Amino acid sequence: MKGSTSNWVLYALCVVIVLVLTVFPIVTFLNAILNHPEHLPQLWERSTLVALFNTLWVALSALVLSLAIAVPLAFCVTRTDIPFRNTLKKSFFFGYVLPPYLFAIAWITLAVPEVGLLNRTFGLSLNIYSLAGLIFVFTSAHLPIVFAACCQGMENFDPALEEAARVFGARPLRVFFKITLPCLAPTIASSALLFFLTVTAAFGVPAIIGIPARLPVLTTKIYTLAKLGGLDGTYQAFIVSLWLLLTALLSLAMNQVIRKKMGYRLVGGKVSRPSLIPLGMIRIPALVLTMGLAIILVALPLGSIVLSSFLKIAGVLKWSNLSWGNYAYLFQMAETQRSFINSVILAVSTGLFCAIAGFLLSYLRERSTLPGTEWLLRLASFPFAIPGTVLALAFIVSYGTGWGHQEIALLGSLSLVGMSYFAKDLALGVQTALPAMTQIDPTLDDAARVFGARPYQVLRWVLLPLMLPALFNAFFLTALPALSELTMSVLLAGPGTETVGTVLYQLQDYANPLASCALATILMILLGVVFLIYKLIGRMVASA
Amino acid sequence: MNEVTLLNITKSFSVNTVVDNLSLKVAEGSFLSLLGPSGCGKTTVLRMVAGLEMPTSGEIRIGNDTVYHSGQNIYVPPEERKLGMVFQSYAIWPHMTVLENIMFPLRLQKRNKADRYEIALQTLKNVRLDHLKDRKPHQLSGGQQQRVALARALAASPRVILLDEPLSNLDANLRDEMCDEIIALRAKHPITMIYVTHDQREAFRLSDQIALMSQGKIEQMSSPEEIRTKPRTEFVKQFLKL
Repeated sequence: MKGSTSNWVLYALCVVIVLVLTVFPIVTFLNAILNHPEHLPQLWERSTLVALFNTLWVALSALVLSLAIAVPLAFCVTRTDIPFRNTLKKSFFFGYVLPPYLFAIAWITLAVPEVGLLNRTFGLSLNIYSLAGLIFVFTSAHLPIVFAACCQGMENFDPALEEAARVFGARPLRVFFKITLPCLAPTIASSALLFFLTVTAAFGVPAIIGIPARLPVLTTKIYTLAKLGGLDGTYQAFIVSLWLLLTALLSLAMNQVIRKKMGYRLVGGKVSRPSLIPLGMIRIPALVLTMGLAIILVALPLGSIVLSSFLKIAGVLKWSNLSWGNYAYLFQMAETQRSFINSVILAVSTGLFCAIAGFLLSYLRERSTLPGTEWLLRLASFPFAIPGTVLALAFIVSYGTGWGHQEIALLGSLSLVGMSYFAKDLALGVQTALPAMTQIDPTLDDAARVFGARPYQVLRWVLLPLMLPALFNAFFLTALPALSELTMSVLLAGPGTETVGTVLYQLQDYANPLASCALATILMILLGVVFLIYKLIGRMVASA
Repeated sequence: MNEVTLLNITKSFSVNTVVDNLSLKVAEGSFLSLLGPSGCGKTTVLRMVAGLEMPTSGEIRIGNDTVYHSGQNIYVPPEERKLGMVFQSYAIWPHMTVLENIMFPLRLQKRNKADRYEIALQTLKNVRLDHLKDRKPHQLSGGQQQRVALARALAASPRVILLDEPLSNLDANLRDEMCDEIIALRAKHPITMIYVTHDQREAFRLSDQIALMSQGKIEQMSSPEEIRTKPRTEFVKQFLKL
């Protein structure tokens, strides 16, 4: 009886969205591969296997390094009496707001052989264009993924579990290793897989650091083939991307296994905050160490970008070497302004699309009896798991070429870039909207129906206002990363549709690396301002 | 004529029959309680009258309208049945103020703004809540929220008001007070009411008629005096502890 006309209209709309953004691109992509079996040997070609090996090796090393840093660090800032706990904790979260490639740009200014700021100022001989450099930059850029999960787990941990162990005679450190850490293992493992997935799918960092270092990974290999290899290259890129797809799907499958096998829930942790472990003698050394990490991983790279944006010659720290020249260079470049306009349009439309579509999908899932809504949600969320590079290729074959009709070929158009963002981020919209929808008592809808509201009126006057805070979160959660997206844009955008990400990459890659620092500085300020607005509005909504 | 008639209503969920060939009639302006243990199907009956649940078969009439008829394939959605309802969880819309909660049904009825305000305020005065009209629901106590829910149902001037265990979330003292309130309101607004409860004290105090239900069937339907003095089945005796 809940299947009313308006619900059917929404249902049809959501089916179309899923067909356009998920089903058609993936089917077309797989079909393109099957129709060109002559390129299949590319899968085992030496250069492909090298890229695969590099990808896995770099991602695993970065993961191990990140865990080695994140677990003790999270413990320090959440569970001990270290001074400035919250400030320290927050300082490691910058990477959540900033695109990872900023860290690559930053470390180039710091540690390029000879002219890097660190090398020139302190006479070091660091070389960021190396395997170690790549691993280190990945670690600093994606550390927040595992760090946030560790912090959350340790903060919400039920102290009674630890207190019980204390009562039975275990010392604090022993409690940590024998009780706390094992209990948090599923949370940490899950975030580790997300980290692995993110690093294997990353394009910006390996493009900026890996290509000059002659360390091709899958994403950069695909990019080079697709951009420079002509038609054959495009098909070879499809084949190589199968490895990337496989890696992603395996990580996801492993995550499912972890959830099932280790799926005990830690409940009741919010009642009282866990007790803080006194560090005693090592309180100050711990503080120094933690602050040192914050400086090396966050303050130094970000500061270096800002500093370099004012330099005339890279790496030379003299008053006479400072100028606004890089900014002037940016302002006389037509692409700069255009890219900001494009990125803002893309970000706003992505935010709106994901919030609204997430709302409608979760409405259908929770409030209608129409068939297959569970599958609709799964399909809508699926592109999120697909590496951006693969997704972009799928959009190129499905919509980019126009199937022989040049007038409907979308490659290089803003709408194609936008569609890829929509597809990639819709899962975030759904993930944010669905829990909020399940929390709304269905009798609120029933009451409205009995008092004369049609289903669309219930949607408009009851559910929408109640969902607004969640939809607002969904908007920012998807719009913020869209502002600086690079991985898909670099394959899909063209002249006139540059995004901030692609212009930054061009500048860094060949045009003018110091100007890229100026653009990166502007981008950081923009992202910071948007993030602050988001937090401010969020606080206002919460207090209202 | 705002009587409610149910004819041979059956409701099954797959193999499980919740309401079994049930017929009853509520006279215009009278107060019927559906009384019974939890799981006897009384709430399902109420939700079918509201249109929130679709019967498997049978016929439901409200006044002169057939709102459900399995044979003729008639199903009138809840919003077209011109009813009012009071829920166990109150179902006060949390994003609206008290006044807005009461005005919203009137707005759906396309009344003009001045009317909406006038009626809502008058009804709030009736339940002595006019001083709280600009509060948000979460700033009210449980008893106050339930009075808002009552006022909302009254203000909509529905043909029938359906009440689904409205007092079960209140403590004992408040429950007595609300019973008095409902009796007083009924004296002013003689609207047909169907009241679902598992509490026989409430049913006996409020009702013109009581339908005692068990396992989807009516064991006995009669006036409170009669049901107490002439219990027809063993189950009635046991349930009422006679």
